[in-house]
Amino acid sequence: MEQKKHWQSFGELNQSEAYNKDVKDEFREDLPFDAADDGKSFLDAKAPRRDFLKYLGFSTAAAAAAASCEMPVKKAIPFANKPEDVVPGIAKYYATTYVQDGDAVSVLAKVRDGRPIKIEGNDLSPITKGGTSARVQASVLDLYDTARLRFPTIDGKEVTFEAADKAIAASIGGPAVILTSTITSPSTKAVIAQFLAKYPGSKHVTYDAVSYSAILLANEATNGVRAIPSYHFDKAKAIVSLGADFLGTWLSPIEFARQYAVGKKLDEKNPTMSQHIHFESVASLTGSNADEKYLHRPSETAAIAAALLSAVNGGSVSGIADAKLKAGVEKAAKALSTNKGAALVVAGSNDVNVQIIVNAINNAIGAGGSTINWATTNNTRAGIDADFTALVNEMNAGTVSTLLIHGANPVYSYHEAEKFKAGLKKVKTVVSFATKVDETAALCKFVLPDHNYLESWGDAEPKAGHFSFIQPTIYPLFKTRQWQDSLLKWSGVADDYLAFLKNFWSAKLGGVAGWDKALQDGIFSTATDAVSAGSFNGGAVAAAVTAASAGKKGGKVELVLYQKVGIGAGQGASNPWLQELPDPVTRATWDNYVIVSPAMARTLLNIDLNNGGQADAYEVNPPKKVVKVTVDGKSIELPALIIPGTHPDTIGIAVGYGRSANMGKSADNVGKNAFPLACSNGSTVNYYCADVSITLTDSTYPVALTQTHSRYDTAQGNRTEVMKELTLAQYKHHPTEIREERDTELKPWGGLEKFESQGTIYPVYDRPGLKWGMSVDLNTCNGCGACVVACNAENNVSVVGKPEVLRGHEMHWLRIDRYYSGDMDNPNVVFQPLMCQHCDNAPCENVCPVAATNHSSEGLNQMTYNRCIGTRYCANNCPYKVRRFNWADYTGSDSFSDNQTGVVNDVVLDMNDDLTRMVLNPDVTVRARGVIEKCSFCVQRLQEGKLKAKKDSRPLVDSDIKVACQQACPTNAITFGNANSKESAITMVRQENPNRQFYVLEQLHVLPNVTYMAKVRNTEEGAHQT
Amino acid sequence: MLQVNANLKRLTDEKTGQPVLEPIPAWRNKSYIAMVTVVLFVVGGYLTSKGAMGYGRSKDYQPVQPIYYSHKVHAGVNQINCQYCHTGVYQGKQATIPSVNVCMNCHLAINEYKGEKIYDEAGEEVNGTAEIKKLYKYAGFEEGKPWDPSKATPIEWVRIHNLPDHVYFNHAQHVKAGQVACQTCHGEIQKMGEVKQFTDLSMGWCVNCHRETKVQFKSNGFYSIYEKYHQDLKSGKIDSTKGITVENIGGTECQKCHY
Repeated sequence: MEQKKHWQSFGELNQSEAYNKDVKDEFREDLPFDAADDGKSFLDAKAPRRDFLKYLGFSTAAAAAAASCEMPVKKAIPFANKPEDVVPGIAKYYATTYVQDGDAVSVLAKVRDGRPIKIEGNDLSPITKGGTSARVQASVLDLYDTARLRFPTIDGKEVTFEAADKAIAASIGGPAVILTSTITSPSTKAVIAQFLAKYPGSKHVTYDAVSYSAILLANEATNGVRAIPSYHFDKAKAIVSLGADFLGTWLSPIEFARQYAVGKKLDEKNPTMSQHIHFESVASLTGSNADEKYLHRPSETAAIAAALLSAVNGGSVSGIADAKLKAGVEKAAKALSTNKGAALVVAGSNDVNVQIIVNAINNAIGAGGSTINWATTNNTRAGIDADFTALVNEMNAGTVSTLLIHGANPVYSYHEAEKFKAGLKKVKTVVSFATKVDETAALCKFVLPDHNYLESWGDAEPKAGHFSFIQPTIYPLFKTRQWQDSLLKWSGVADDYLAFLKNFWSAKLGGVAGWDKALQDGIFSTATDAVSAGSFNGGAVAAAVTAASAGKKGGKVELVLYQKVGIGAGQGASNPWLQELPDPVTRATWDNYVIVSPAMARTLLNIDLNNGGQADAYEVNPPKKVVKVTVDGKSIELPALIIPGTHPDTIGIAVGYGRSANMGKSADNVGKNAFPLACSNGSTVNYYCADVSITLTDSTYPVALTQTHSRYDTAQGNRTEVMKELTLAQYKHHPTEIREERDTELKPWGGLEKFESQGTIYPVYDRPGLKWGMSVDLNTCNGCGACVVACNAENNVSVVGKPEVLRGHEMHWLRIDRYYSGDMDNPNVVFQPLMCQHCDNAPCENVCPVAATNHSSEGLNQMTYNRCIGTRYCANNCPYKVRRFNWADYTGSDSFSDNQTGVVNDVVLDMNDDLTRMVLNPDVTVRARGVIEKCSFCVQRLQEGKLKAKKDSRPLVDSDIKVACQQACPTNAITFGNANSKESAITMVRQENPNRQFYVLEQLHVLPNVTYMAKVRNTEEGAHQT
Repeated sequence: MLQVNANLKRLTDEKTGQPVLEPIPAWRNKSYIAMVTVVLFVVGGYLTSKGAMGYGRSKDYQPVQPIYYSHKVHAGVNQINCQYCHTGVYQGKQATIPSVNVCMNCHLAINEYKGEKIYDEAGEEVNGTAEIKKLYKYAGFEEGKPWDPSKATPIEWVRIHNLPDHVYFNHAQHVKAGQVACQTCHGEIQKMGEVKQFTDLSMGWCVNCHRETKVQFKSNGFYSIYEKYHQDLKSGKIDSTKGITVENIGGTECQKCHY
């Protein structure tokens, strides 16, 4: 058959044997009969028919006996004194701020009966405008983490805060050093200043796990300020990124994703788009979204920057050997030059010279004052590597007598951790404020756990003049104390931090009323719309360019250390939702690994992906070949994953893994720590190594990849293209191409107009009143995964753990499919969020023997758990493969607790802890073993929204209902609402985008209620002709 | 019939001179045994499944509560509006059981029972004043002294109406949007001493009501979007005496209550 343009896996590309076998089965494994192992017949199995009947009889009798016991007496216990504004069963939303190291995101915490259960973005925030990320969505689970330290300790033994204060007061002394991750809170800075004043000679050192020193230092060199400006991707018509993963992990991804989507949103009548050219070494989320992507070695970054500078200044592109890359630089330069004043270059490199050159390019293309704003600086990263190196030296020299650590975890994330550890031993008093006994806290005498942010008071200033407030949403669960309280106490201040905070703000906000309003809104802004271009001084540029050309040449293989969207620098490692979130680029869960290119796979792993058999052997079996990567005598052994879009001579390893067992069950024994492979170039830490050796070992290691799960084809193997993609040039040339294509395909059944009635023998049903519909814009969706985690949190979706993901048992109701197209070495990537399509003619519904899944008059494909008997016919018959089966008792809801023993792993058991279960949404049933579940369009929210409208006696409006994925999305790629209403956003979106709109597998006549809008890539070439 | 058949066979056998077999007694006759087994199975199965379905249902459940609280005295004789105590009923899922401070709003002043004599289920007289004193104990209130609400402890009432966890029920939906009277589901609560479960709260009971009950189709603006139904009502296509029932707008679909 004809080769498809888009492919999800190598097997699909090659139409290999294993792939074709696999797609015909929804469930990839045989039924769990014991006999299946040794090939004997079913009757010879260990539990044959007679035993089966015995069990059946026994269980019926046992169930009858159990059921005839008396009903338990339940109590209904009201409040003793009900707070006036608390109504049991009605959620309250409190504005607060997610703070994790430097990151500060304004959010609303949904509090149900005293428990925060869901995080939403704060629409009032001018930075995020209500957007969130996977990490922000998952943060609510950290509050209920069983691994949290529950009391203060001295030498690991529980003490009271009074005793700890006393002991610390006796041993504290100057000069003290406060070591923190970046702090954006103005009041905390004031608290620190007071403490430093009390102990003369003390200082505050900022340390970021992943350093942004180079940008800070470069800006100091060229603009005279050690700060990071605001970037405006929304105002840029041309965007060039040198390895900056600004949609995933770089600096302020939620803000940037929203801005980026502004430029990518397509107006069908007036089609213009921003152009994004990306240079990178290892496939990243941002690179996957780029219009054009060029691959290079990490050691070439400076040369590319220098060449780009030369080109935008009208010079020639020199110093780049690779012809493709050279053409890319020329193209980028052209795009930047033609869009002067509306162009932006960013670089992810932590090399000062590269950043100086980038500043020079931005100056040359007039970015200052348009796409770069110096009037509002970004405060989220402030650590300077040299400061920390100096501190480590001082510690080793024995000149630091007290060290207070908050947020920073250098024992884990510093590349010379041994040196830091040695220094730590020489410090007399070491206090950690970590919430868990992390790698650093484990070596500290005093650990005084801080509150989780949902239990805290505070403020944050992620960008100059943009303040965001933190208020507690729950009474502290454990004996913890805000670290600011400790500092104030030790500085001899009588006020606690709350009083201090109120004092700090009330004058600025105009008294109590102003404070209350700021808390209610969660934000307060003194920033103006003023835009400043900054003052550029090119003095340092020439030296930087010279240094760039003299830069170290790379060896045969180079290594890039990158962060994953979910895990970051390790902050997400202890969160099971984030661990189980498939990485958008690799689709792997629960591990880090070595990313290699298809070209390197041929030579290193002896896997040729163009050879169907070899691709199958790689792809179908979870165990992956383990490689050994050695850098300067330090080596790490990890499994290798083949990811197209990676430079042939470059490998990538994610940091953030290999955490200590103290971090929790989900971090324990997951991946390996890659931070030690980073190296310093003298002034800053480089997250790449120009010369590494990589060798194949004999062992293999299973990686839980979801890439090949949930695939489907008909028995005839004639599934047509799921994805639709165009280039902007194609679209302009022939806007109705997709529409006509659909019409042609449906011609035999009445064409587009009459397809619904003529394509079926079933009657067409009326949908009076409401009809729910969703639309997903593939142009603005960047695949970040915020929606997936939001869905997990909202709908009590189980975590199943790595062994179960390996068997294809993951439960996610919403998955983001990754499609490649084009050249295997550097393909185009499209992400497609796929959830239940709520087909009006749903194939799952007519096969259910017990009518547990059926259709509602509002167009919902309803799933009734208590009626489901687990035949799984529906999942077999679902063309989208979005139905999930509860293979095991993931939720602990069975009556017999030992049903879990030996079946699910510790992570899942940990999710069933009474503490962790506090995160469950009480409006959604916790599913039991043996039932099917799937996306419900957040029916609990639909019902709530409808009730709200009914209580007000008015028709439903869009603002009544936002489904979880839609609400979490930082780019507003998802639109949802009543498709019967003429004014609703969903109707508008469908009307305004008739040309790009399509249904997935439309020709099956399942009549989905989810529309997609085709991806349009702003390129001239590389386009297909469909 | 089997007996008749057997007799006839015996007669013909006798007539034709065939050897007559000794008749098998009924208790050893396979046909009889089979018949009885089938009947027992059907009847037993019916009773078992009916019984099983009834498990967990507790119509007429009337447990003894920590305080003899009489709805008859409060809602019946003294005509206190239900919503005065059950404040959540118009707003949310739970009607809510009043907290101690709500009780004390009135009972700070009312410290003895002077009404008609009240009798419990067993016919024994209940000392109303003593029950008020029980409340004071929970509230941490000593007569003659100012009350400090922070001393109050919650009253552990025995829960009467239990729905399974997989059922979503919302009071506001029924009472505020649907204008259903409390008594429809809870019975004549204003005549009850201690509360008794009035209905069996089974799914059949829920669905029946959803089939018969009219929604506030004209008075609630939410339903204005059902344009077709409004037209049909006007044109008489839909019987206006029957009106639009909950079922007509999808009120018997699974995911209205199970999600």
